[in-house]
Amino acid sequence: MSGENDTALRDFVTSRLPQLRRSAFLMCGDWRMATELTRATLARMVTDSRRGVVADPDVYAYADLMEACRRRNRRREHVFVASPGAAGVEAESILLLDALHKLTPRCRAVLVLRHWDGFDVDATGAMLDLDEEQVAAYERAGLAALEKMLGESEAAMAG
Amino acid sequence: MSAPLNRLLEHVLEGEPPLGDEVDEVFRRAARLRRRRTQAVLLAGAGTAGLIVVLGYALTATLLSSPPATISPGTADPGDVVAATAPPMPSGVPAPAPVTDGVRTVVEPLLEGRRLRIVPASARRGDGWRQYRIADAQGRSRGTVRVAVFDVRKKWCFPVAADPEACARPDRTGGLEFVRYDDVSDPDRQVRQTVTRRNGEDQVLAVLAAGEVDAGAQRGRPALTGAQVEQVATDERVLDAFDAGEDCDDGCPDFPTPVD
Repeated sequence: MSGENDTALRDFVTSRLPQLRRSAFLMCGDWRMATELTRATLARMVTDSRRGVVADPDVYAYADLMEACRRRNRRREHVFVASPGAAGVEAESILLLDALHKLTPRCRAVLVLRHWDGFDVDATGAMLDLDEEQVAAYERAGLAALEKMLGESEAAMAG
Repeated sequence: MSAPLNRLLEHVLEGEPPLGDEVDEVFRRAARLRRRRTQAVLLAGAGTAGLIVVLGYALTATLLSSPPATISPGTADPGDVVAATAPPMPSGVPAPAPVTDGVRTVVEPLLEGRRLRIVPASARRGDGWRQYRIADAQGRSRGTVRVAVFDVRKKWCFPVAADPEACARPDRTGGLEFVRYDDVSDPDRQVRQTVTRRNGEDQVLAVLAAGEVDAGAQRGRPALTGAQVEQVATDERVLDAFDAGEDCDDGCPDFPTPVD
């Protein structure tokens, strides 16, 4: 992206901003915080791209965003914050978000990048500074834990 | 579970707030970030420059406050003189106490009694010798006062100006013996000199008051009388004003009656 003009940068920001913000929301569970973190990440990406130090803007943006979410939300306890004026959120969605946030931040990031954003193992490893085996291990552990927690929650609701 | 999780997450994201002018806000924030980084770089540069200035000032002040170099014995020549006044000190650095000149302490009151004074900043000193330019109240030069110590051999004797092989018989006062060598016969080159030696010691003191050369009988008179020169030469404080290792050897100013 280095050397490209502001139009290219604006196109990139326009196209990636919604998806980045959704990923941030899955990571932190708060639309306001997700918006703030996404805005800060893209501002850094734009500034560093103008300096010519960004090799892959996608890797840069997602790596920066995941690190920012990890720093802002180290604790696993999760409080879901819906957007102002939003309609009622389904109970299943809240249970899923709650289960997602009981995972470690890195495990949660692997699941978001792999199963929501659709990145492959290599790209996910590059964004989180992990090798392929670590990504696979986090993914297996995360999916298993998520399946177990969701099963327990559904059983509790049914009972 | 990949596909189901993907579909489940889509439901979670329902109720997503509108983006608004987020893209413009990203670029505004990028501009602010760039300004902050530029300011940080400038501040860091200014801080570094300030640190260099402070360190340079401190180093300079430290070096300037070091003791002045002294002339090592046997290396000075007549042109090598060191100002007796202290070098200027940078502001903010405590100036050391002025070095007391024991010779001047004795000579100056005698001059003041004759309405004469040592010319400011005229004091010169070297290994084993001190010298002062004298002026009257009108600022006219009245010659010089010169004091020196010499290391002499055990068999040294007081010289006789007219006969290098002869020895003069000294007068005695206290623990000192001395000889006066006054010569005011030439009105244009009037000198008064006394040589003193502590009994049994190898250090000899010579005190000279030389009038202004070629200034006539009146203005050519030495700044001190013969008795005053003798008084200075027999004042223990003058001998004590010199360090034990001082010796007016190489580079010593001339005395009309040589000591060595």
